[in-house]
Amino acid sequence: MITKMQCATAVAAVVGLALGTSGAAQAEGLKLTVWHNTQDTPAVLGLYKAYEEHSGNTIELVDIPADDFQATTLTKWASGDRPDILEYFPNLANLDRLNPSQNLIDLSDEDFVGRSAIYDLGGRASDGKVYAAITTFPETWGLYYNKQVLADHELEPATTFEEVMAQCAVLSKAGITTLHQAGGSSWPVYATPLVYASGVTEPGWVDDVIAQKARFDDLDSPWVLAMQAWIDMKDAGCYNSDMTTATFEQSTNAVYAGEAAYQMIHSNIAAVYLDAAGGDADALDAAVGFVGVGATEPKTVMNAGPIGSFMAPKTGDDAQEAAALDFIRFVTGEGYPDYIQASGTFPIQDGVPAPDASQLLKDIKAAYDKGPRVILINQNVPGGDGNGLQVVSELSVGQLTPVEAGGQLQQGVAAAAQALGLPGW
Amino acid sequence: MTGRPTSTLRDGARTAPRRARLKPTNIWFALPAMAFVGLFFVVPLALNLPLSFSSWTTYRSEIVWNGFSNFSLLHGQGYLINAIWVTLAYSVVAMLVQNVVSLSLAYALRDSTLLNGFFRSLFFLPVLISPLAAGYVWRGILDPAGPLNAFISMFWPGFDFAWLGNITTALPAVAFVDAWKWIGLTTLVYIAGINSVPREVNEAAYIDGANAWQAFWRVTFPMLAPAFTFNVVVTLIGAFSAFDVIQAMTGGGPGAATRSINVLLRIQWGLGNFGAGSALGLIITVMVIVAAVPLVAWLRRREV
Repeated sequence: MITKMQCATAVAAVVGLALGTSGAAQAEGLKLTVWHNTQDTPAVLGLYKAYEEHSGNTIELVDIPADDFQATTLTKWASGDRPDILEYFPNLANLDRLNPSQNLIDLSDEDFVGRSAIYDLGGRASDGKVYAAITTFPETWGLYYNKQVLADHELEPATTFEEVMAQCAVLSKAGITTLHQAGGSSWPVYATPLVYASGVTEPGWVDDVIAQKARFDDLDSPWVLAMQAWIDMKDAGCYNSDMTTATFEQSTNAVYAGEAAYQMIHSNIAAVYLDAAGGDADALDAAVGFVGVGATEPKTVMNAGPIGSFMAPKTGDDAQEAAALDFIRFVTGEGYPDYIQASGTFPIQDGVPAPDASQLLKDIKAAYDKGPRVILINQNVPGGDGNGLQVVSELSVGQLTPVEAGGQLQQGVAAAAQALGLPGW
Repeated sequence: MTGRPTSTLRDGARTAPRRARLKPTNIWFALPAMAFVGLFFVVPLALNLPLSFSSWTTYRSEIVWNGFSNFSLLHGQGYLINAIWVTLAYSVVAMLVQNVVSLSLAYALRDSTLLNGFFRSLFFLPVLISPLAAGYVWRGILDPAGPLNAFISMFWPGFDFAWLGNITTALPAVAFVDAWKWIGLTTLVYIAGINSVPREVNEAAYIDGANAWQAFWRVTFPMLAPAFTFNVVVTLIGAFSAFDVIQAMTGGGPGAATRSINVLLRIQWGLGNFGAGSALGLIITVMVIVAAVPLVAWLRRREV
């Protein structure tokens, strides 16, 4: 049996002998390699600079293109290459792909875990341990809506998909797209059933799937219900006619311009709305609002994103690993308040003051605070972030029924469970 | 000069092309190419073979033999047959469009005049464009609000069609763009082939009473066989590896309508399912061998 780690260790040993160097001999002035997303905000980039000034260490950024972030990271990771700091998705589905117990430093006992409620809902691997320091306000999923469109038709912002469906009857008659879909960008179409399913998932359902007591293609599974709801809205004419080719920027523009009432997407897209408003925050606040949405009752679906989520891979170099931990303690501790002020987003740690924010961001924070908060369903299932995009894409053009789509998702989970070696799979 | 011609026509009888012997001195000339092919094609293919039958994922550090599990997983998810079908359909459409259009163009531009030189350059321009860039440009052109629909609307008011959003038209559309991208290259090969046909042969055909079509079909086209073999095989096999144009235009959608093997490979790779990705790579290799070897053998037999 070949192991990638054996190969990597052998190569590292040869290189180490050849160079005759020892990282452990250096106590300060270390160079830390960070694999980072090219969509890092100026505030995150500023965090790296702040750490350099604080520690005397230097940060070497390795760009991972945002467009192919997951694939590029996993490909580099599979080659045995390791950074000192990894910026990546901090949810179960993605953490498990990194084989964290073997490859990442356990951060469960770090102080920041106790200061943030986000780890109560997610941010942990299958073994229940925390391997990622989450610094950025979580992606909060909900409906961006055009205030004028709703006011013109005497409608209140919908907080459930049932209400969206009811409003669709009114808006469609007026020639307005109720819920703009963006199949040209692929993943936004996935968002609607994902959020719906997250809203109807009963506590313990994921455990039942792992225990093989429930399946994704059961008639009453959250996924089958969600995909049927998506089809019902499509059949009711709630979507735009170019739903298979439109991009999410077009959705954003359509809502801002009042051509569509709603866009179902996460809070990080607020910046794209600001672009749609030509950078005019007041104009944006006057036109667009945000509200959390559940399937049949109001809920707020959330997940932690990759930007500003840091992990410390095991590199085998004690000094580098210690410096990586020092970085994580800085960004979650001393450097955190300044980062929050610079980012303009809300803190996820207790006792850190929030910055001034636009009304739209306040709407998002209000939705997050109001809850009840539930984690995005695909985040806490092994392999749950796998083939969903393809499955929903096929569902959207009638190539799969909801039950068939559920069956495909079940196979994706089964493959992941087998790869993980979960009992009974 | 001691060598004989590689093919001869004696008493009107057709003979098979003579196989040239590889002289010891020629091996040195072939060595760089052989090394290149060996290093960048044969070795990766050989390394890929065991990985196709292994459980290689990011979930675990070990790479272990798992038989045909990768293939059965892809088949069970309904991806494999669809991807093979999409790849074959895409390749055949791209090959047909490319060869029919480029042969016509080559016939029209066969004479080396200043004007023809301009048009040869013009039609060659897409070859120089990045496939991704070409894909994004055509994605814009074929957008429901794009210039193609705007043009059609001039004659058909209110025309609105999502060429890339419809599962029936998306595949031919991306295959057409692939053909458009490479037509300049195949046209040049056909022009070279047409111009190597002796004019006397065509003139003799006209004297014997052949019209223009008969002269082309009965005289020129058979003598174009080497160029035809090259273009058909290269365009077909090249399209088997289709990825960049599809990725830029549709990302494999709508649904699974344009999800070729390479697009599926990238999806599997992105999910950390490297064993399944390797299995798909092996399938492409097998498809290329299964299609290319008999096709080349059959087309070479037709060559005069």
